[in-house]
Amino acid sequence: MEYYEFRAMNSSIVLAAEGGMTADGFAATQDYIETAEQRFSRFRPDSELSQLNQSAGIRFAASLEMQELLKTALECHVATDGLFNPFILKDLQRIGYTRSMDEIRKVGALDAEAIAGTQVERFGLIQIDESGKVFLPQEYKIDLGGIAKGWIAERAARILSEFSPVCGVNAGGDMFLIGQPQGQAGWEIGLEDPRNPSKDLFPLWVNEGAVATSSIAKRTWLQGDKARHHLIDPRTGDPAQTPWLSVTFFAPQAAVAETFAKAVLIGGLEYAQDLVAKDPEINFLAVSPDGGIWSSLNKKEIMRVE
Amino acid sequence: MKFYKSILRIWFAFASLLGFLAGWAFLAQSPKPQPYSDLEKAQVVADLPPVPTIDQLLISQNPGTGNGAVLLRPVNMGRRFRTGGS
Repeated sequence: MEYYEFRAMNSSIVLAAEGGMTADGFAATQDYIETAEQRFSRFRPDSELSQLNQSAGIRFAASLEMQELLKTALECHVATDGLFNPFILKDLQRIGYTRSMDEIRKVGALDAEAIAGTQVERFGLIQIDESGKVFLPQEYKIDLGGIAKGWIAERAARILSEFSPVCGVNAGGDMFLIGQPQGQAGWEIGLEDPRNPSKDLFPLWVNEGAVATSSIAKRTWLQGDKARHHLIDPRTGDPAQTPWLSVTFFAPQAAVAETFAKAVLIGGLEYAQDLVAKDPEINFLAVSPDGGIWSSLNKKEIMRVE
Repeated sequence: MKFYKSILRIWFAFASLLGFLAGWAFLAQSPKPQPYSDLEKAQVVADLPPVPTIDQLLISQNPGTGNGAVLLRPVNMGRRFRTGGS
């Protein structure tokens, strides 16, 4: 297996490929990821997403990729009972997340007064017509950060697979894997300890598909004297109160893994129990602040695994 | 004129010789460097990581974007892929 690492989307991107033309594949994949980042970043004023956000109230001619991602986001919004909601951007900005996390880590968040949030409007208010024009209601803005990262990782992996049949793309912990590494039972993925990110809790062995982790332990900052994190609960408009530090979700599609990891982390045990009752095949792992592991991997109920 | 030139040459030769001898005498009087033998007083220095191999330092041009050098290297972890949010 050959590896290639670079930085994009405010994350470390690791490409892995086995067999075939890996160098050409890495170059083509990096090219795609950097182009996609330019389209979907909310921190680039010239990105298509920024232009869409500035066009709220009028119809915006979106690219095919933007239309596809928005439709996927809408489906995931409905599937997660609204716990995944791209309309949280105004709330993220209200609590100080106004610049990229790389910049916040360097110079801090803007010191704004902490104001309590309110329920976020449902994402279903967005309209995409048959001609590809997108209508955002006045004063609404979209953040596609997490879902875009997973969605891009899946597409990038499919590009890489044209050069190497066994490959994977890891975009800051959201990854998509294709094929099975030679001589191994599957892909070995280290599950990061959210209490100490330099260490792994244990290895996960996974097959083809997507793995995504949502965490409240990494993107954190102070707004005045209030500790903030980036995971907004759309029911309150404020950072989620959750019993877990991180949730890792496994799914056939990266966008599903990413949005359900968020939804389970926001919704907590009760939401997760409902989810597993509806679909016993759902697989996730959650890590609590005391290091306890909660898992649905037994396919029957959610267990705390010591 | 020739007489003055000869005097000037003799003067330069004499001054050079005098300068050389004075320097020699000065250095002979100065303290000599001593070999460091008191190991107990030596500071303990932290172990340095091993020097990377040429392969690890291989820098490849990125033909895809042409945006400069990208370090092509193995990720320094037991497990190459990790998940933990970002």
